[in-house]
Amino acid sequence: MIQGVWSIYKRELRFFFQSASTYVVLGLLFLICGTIFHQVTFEFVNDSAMAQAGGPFGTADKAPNINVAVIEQIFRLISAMILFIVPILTMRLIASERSGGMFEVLVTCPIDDWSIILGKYLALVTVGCVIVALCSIYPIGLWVVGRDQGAVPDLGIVLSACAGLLLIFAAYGAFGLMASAATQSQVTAAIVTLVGLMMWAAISEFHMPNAAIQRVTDELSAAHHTENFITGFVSLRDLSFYFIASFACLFVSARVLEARRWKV
Amino acid sequence: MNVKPLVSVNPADAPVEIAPAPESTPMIEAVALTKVFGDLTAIEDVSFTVGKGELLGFLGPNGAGKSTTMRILSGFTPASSGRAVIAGHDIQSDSFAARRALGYLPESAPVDLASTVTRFLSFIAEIKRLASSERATAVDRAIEECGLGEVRGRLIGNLSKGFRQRVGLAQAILGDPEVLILDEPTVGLDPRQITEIRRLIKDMAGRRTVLLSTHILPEVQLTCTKVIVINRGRIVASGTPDSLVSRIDDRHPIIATVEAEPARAQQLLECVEGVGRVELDRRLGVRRATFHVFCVPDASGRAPADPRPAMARAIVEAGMGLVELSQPGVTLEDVFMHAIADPSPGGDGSGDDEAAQEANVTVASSEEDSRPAEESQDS
Repeated sequence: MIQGVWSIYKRELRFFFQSASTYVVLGLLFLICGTIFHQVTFEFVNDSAMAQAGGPFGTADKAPNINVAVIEQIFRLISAMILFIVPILTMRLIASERSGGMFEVLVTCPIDDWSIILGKYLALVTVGCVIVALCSIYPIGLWVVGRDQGAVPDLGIVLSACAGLLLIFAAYGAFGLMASAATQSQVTAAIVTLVGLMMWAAISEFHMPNAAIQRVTDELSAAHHTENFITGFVSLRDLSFYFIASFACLFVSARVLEARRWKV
Repeated sequence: MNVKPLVSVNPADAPVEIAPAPESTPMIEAVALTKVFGDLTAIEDVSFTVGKGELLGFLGPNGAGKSTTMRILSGFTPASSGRAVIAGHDIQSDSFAARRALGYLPESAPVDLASTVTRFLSFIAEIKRLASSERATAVDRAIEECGLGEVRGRLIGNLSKGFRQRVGLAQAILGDPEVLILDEPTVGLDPRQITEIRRLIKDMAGRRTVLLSTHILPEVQLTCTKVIVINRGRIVASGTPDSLVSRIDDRHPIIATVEAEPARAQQLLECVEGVGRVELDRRLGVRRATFHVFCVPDASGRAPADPRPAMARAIVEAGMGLVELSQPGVTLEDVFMHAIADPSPGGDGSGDDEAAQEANVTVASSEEDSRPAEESQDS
């Protein structure tokens, strides 16, 4: 089992890092994030300066907080961007094996379905780790520059936000893997993933007729749970939400692979 | 059919060494396989066995159920009913052990376009659980056996169709499985490559048990020791290529071209000993005609001695001109065309003689003609 997972994992990771689309996606992500980061940091510096100067437009107690004004902004943006990145990264995972004829070879080799799913998923999560690690350039940059001015981001909030990003990437990724397992075409997989993720993230945005239902949709929404992590609030409830969601998607994926063995 | 259990395969030590099985041990066993997709019955009651070292050709038109049968045997998909056993292991209930003994080349050659040949094969060696110390050797051997040496470092996506097919074959034979299931291994190749692949497959037989499917007839005749013809999901004929041909040969017509007045010549030929029915095939001018001459089977159902010498003598003695007297050999093509043209299934797949005497191997229409009279004799 472990050996099978490891073989699949290595191969999949190689595919990720030799595929041009991975680099295009990462390039776009950091292009957009870099621009927005510049924007919010600039505003933050302006607001701080105004607050310090005092006068009619600002007072000292209105001084902006770097965690709220920059860190939260930028991580919220990245968490939204992940929604668009994940379909591109996951669409290939299993759909390409099916369309290329590799699927038949894989499943007739002595390797079980779970090893295939887990190997691919772990490779995807590794890519997620790389993305999150690269994102830490923003808080590190703030820390390097702001150290002397005493305006440094809170380490706890940064770590919790990074964990939140990784968790939402993992949950979205599991959903994408499921969609890829269920389809032959990569394009279909990507579209299904994108639409599915949008609905999953935005379900709390719809106005529900009563508060109880609203509460349920809030809890079901993927984006809702990230919000806590980004503001530095780590709870077991949010953690378990992501773990359960990811596991459920992986479970369905394994069932989908297995479905060809069902007698119908 | 009872299964003789082989030495069970221990997952820990691969590549697996299985105690040499007795000659008769079936390595591939299909027992009453039936596969139903919705209201379409893809294959029905397909049973056969392939002994150790045999090379079985699975012959049938497109859509006959070849690939479905092979997918079931490879464990990719289960049969609706029936049982598939590979090297003594049931492919569904003892799937891992069976899959370890199996090399499978699917219909569409598996291509991992983004990998080099060596890397792809190393990956397959890993998931086939070859011991890490033996992987490199196994990969090298497969590369060498399939003639991939010159392209080993190239991306599979950049290879020609022929090389890709060989890569597919290489992954199937990797780790030296006892049983090879090859779904149309020569499809899409040029004639030279086809010859090479055939030679490759033929070299493998003996050591390995091979089941290959094709709709190319000479392929079977050239490479296989046993043939099964399948049509519309049922086995319609089976046996060795020679036996299939000889069964049909017994009642295959002699072609006689005689220079004489056709009616007189026909009358004369009918009087020759051993000759049953004589049919006028076509007139060639006023005084020349071609006949189809059928021999009379004797009591045992076998044809008597060749009547051609007697016919020649009779023709010459009557003062007629003898232009041609021949009995064209029956090809597998005839067997095939005949077997698939017959809507009622004959052979039961056991390949015994009684089954062979049934409708599936009655007189075939030869390449250039088809006679309604002949068809009626079949039924």
